[in-house]
Amino acid sequence: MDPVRVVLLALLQGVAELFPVSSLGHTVIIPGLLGWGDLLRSDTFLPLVVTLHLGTALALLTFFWRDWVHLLRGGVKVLIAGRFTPDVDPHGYGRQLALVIVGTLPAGLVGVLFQTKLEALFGAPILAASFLCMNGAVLLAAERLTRRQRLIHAQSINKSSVTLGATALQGGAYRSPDDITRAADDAEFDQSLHEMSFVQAALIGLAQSLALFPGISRSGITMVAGMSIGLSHESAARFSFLLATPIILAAGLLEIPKLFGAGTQILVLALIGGVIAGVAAYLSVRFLMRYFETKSLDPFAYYCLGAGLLAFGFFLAQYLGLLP
Amino acid sequence: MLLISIGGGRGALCIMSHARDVKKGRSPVKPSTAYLIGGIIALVCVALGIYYLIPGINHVLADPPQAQHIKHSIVFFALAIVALVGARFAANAKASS
Repeated sequence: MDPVRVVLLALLQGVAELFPVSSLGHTVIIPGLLGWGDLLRSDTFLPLVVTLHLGTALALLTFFWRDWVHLLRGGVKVLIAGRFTPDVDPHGYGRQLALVIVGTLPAGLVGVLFQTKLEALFGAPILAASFLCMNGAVLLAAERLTRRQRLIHAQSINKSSVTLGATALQGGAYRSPDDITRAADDAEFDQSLHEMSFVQAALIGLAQSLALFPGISRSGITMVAGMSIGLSHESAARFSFLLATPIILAAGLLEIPKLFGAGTQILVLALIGGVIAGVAAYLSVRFLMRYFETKSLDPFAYYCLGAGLLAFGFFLAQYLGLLP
Repeated sequence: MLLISIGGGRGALCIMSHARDVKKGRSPVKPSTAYLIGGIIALVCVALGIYYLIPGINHVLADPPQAQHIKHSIVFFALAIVALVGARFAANAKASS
């Protein structure tokens, strides 16, 4: 296993896992572009995948450790009492943990039952590039739709952001999307995590299972689902990362047996990769939580569309024999 | 005819009460029904968990089909636990409403 490839893959995993740009898609596309297919098919790749997942999960647990402590404490209290009432769960942490569990179940079940088949069917780089384009389109559409809903809401309660809204709606030309988002936020549009129902959490979980298609971003699709039920960008991102933690952690822990039997050199490289992925993931989640306080999914949407189209063109040219 | 009309009337009242409960955000499920549904789901999940643990039989949605699939079993056992816990919460929500 080439150390340079390990470092690059670790960085790719750590960043792309949390950014709404599909880590699985990039893991398929970039090795395809660079001719690293032999690495992905080798047995030595499996220990690396395990440590990359564990590194990313540990980064998420570290960043959100306070949240997880509150959630687990609240969860124990409501589990013992058997209800979510304010006397038992005054801050709603137990209910939030239940929402995370309900949101995790669909993706966990679908992943275990269908992941291998889906990766075999759709793991070709050209398909991953197509799904990456779709990912970009979904992010863009979700942003436009959410923005429009916020503007309509702001108009309906006659706040100062109505002026922005009227201009944007009539002219079809938006002012800075971040300005509109911030203005509409004042209209108290956003639903909080406390108000989310279990059905909504399950629907977000079902959306998360779409990330089994290489090219569809797990964090992107769960954020889109969260925003569609009225969560703000920040709340949707937070819920998305909380949902991701048990899934990624389970994916790493359940694959630990694959580490046994790997040579010492491979294990050392895999561990280094895990650490790099973890650091990259921690910095990514820190950046994204601040980013989504005020900004939108648009840049990621444009990136996915552009990168997906370029990659699709490249692989199509290869398929047609125009490129080696 | 009288019995049918009384039964029909009681049935209509049950449906109206259910609709009222749903509208007011109360769980419409009786505690015993919640435990029954949760118990059935849990039993099915436990059975599926055991099914995926038995080697030598053709397992659906698993590759290779005849091997033991511990991941599948873990997921179904976890679902069984969630079903039972969910039933308890649903029953308590109805009891306290």
